[in-house]
Amino acid sequence: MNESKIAEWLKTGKENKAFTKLYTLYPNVEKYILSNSGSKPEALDIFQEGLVLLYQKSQSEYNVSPEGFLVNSCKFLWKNELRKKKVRSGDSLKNDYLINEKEITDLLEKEEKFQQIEDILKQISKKCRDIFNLFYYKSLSMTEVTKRIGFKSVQSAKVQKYKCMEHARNLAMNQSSTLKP
Amino acid sequence: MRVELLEIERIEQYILKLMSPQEQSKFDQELASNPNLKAKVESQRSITEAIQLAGIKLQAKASYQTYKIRTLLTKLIILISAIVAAAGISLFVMPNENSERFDSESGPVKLDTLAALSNQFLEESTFQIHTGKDTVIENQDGVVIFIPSNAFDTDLDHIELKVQSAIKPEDIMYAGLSTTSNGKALETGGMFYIDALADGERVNLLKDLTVNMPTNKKIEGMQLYRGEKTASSEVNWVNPEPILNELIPVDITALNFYPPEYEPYLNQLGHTEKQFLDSLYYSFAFEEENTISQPDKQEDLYYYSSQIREVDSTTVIDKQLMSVHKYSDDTTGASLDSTDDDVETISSYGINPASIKTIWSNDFNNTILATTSFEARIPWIHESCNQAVLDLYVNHLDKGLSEIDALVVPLVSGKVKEKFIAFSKQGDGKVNLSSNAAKKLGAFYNFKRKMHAKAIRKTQETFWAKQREQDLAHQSKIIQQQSRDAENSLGVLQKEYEKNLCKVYEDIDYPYDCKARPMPSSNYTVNVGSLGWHNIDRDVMTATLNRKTTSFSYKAKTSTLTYEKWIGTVINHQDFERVYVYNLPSEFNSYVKLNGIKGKYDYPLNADLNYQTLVLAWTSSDLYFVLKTTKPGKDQFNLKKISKSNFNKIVQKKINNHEDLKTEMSFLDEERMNSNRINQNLKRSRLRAAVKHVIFPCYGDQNSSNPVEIEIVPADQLQ
Repeated sequence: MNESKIAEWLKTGKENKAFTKLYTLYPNVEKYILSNSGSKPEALDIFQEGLVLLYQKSQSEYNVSPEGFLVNSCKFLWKNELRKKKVRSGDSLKNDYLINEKEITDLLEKEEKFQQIEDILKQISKKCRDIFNLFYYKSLSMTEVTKRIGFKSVQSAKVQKYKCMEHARNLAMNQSSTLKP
Repeated sequence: MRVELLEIERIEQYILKLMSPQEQSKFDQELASNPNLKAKVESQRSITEAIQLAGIKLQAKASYQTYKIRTLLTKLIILISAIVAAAGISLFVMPNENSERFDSESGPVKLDTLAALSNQFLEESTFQIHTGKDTVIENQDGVVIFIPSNAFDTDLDHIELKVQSAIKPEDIMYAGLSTTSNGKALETGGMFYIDALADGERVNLLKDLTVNMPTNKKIEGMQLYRGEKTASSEVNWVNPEPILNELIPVDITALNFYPPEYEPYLNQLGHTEKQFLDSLYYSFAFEEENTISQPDKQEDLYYYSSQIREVDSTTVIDKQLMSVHKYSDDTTGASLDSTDDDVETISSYGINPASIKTIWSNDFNNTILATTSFEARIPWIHESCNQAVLDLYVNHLDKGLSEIDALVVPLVSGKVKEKFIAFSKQGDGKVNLSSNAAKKLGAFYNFKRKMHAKAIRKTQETFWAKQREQDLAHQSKIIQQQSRDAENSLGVLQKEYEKNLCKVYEDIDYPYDCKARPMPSSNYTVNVGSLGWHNIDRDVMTATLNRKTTSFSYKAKTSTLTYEKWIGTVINHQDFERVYVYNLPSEFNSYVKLNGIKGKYDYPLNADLNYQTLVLAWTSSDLYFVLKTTKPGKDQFNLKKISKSNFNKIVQKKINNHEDLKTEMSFLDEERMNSNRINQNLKRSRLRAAVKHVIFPCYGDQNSSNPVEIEIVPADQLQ
């Protein structure tokens, strides 16, 4: 597999291509998890979480081998999972040294924060979420967003987008102030 | 936009790095000094990133399916080629078994006793169903489910209904669904999965749900199989049951009951408006057992044709009058001889538009006629050209469509027969309609059809009676005009003769009062039985009539009547519908209407008279005009467009004392309107003639050289 190509895809918004390619690693990861008291659905969850971590990592300047980082992330995540389940892990797991472990932990912390925001976003309207998804994730132009959502004009779509952001930001800022000790 | 929103816009540009370096450094400075702004930026940034990450998470899941289909494809291509013909539609079924705890929290269907591995690969639609109401739902694949009220074994008001479907081959492959029943290959018409949860717990069905699967092509012998989960979490299809084939009525006015070629043909001619299409189509309605006679029809036709021929071809007045009755129509090819006893029976052509008008209305909603299945038969019903075929369906509204198809088979032949045999095998059922309701509707149909035929006929007749009335009125005006023209021409002749005679008498000093002489009433009244002065009179008359220069001598004195050659040409005469040219001698209060050939008008001028030439012409929309002093020799007339009011003013001023000419002008104006009306009628006739073969597909077979009909009512005159 051409690693630099995958890294490039991840950086240029072609994550769908990169992910599809990376799934060829999935049978290995599944095998690892199944042999360590996991199930198939759990293996899939872990692998997908690993893909998200890899994506986040690839957005930074620091270059890693996508495949190595992905496999290590999955192993780390599964160890974490087992710890939560309080399952005693076998010796083979205990002594495993994982490269990038520190970075993975950092990313996981960061992701927890995003998870909170994701929960907050569930409180805003579906229309707002659709606009956000099309504009911020799919990076479509506002003209295209206007068309897809069915606004009368680009201007009204823009105003709606900013109102949605205002609403989301108020929710997020209120939340974080109540969370503060 | 509000200030707050403008700030959000600015922050967005900052986060997405869309600011210019100057803007950005300015913003950085603001951030450093404004902790409030900084908090806002941070919050907005986290939201933006969280949105992006949520998208990534979905993508991670979606990519698994792409990956999976790629690995499945290689296996499935082999499987698909192995599927042969064992008939069977596949799948579904609701749990009748023991309820079990079901985790409804997580989106995709989880594996349990019903759901198999394939469920994870199919898009799932979740519907909130009010258990006390009848509900109809449709999923993204067009699977329509009717849920009767109180269909679920639950006390709750709402349940959650989950629907998945695999209809397209790629979906079936993608989901890895098998099409085998105990190892036997099936041909699938699509698969679906339905699950119902009340408060997270699966509920049993108390009533049957009705499921409609979309299909482009119905295949004989499809059955419903129940999906059974195998040990390896795949689906095996068992317990086949025949398919109900109950029809689902739709809004009948949304269907298309026209003959198959009709709409495309008219669209091609630029007619797309439903109202117009309807009125044209229904205008072909006929009353059964009656023949359509066409009294006066040909007369109308000749009359019209005489009106539209080229104006230059008019010759002498008498001939023109005659032509109203004698002229044969060049444009349509009909001739006088072929028209005798032109009585025909349209009913042998095919489906009566009156019956289509009757059934194509809201009264037949909720019957087998208001179904897309019946609509599919319509082209073939028209093709059969047999009213009895349509009547079979209408008279058996309580029967299944395919049952009626079987009754149609003996009535038809050839390709149509094959088609109806195929229809009869589709096993199309009926709309849930009591036989009482069906009978009532059938009776209603027969009544309504007769009424429609009658009403359409009546409207047509009234319309054409009115047209004929106008035609007659106009004809009598034409006769008046022609006699007026004749009188005027004759008047000019008489006056000219008188003037010529006076001039000759004076020139040769003949001691006689020219004015005292009785006017010859026509050229034949001149007495030629004696010598002398009469001779001169007669010669003057001959000269006047022939319009030739002639010299007269008496006692060594000579007088000459001079006629000068004049040819007027109307430029671009072929661009006009009608052209009228008048020479007006200023000395007389009359006019001469000239007859030209191909825009050329020849009229020798009397040198002792002063003339003006007036040319009037029109196209279908505009009036053109020129008035100028007539000079001997060749002259050309370049017509200028003129408004009706300006024209009136000029006519008032210049030819004020010309009573007859004024009458003539107002007649021409009327004539113009009338010719528009006639052209309109002609157009209608032609369109109607042209469209007939698409309305009655068998019409052309019986009689390929059809006379043109002149029967159509414009859209706005039909109710």
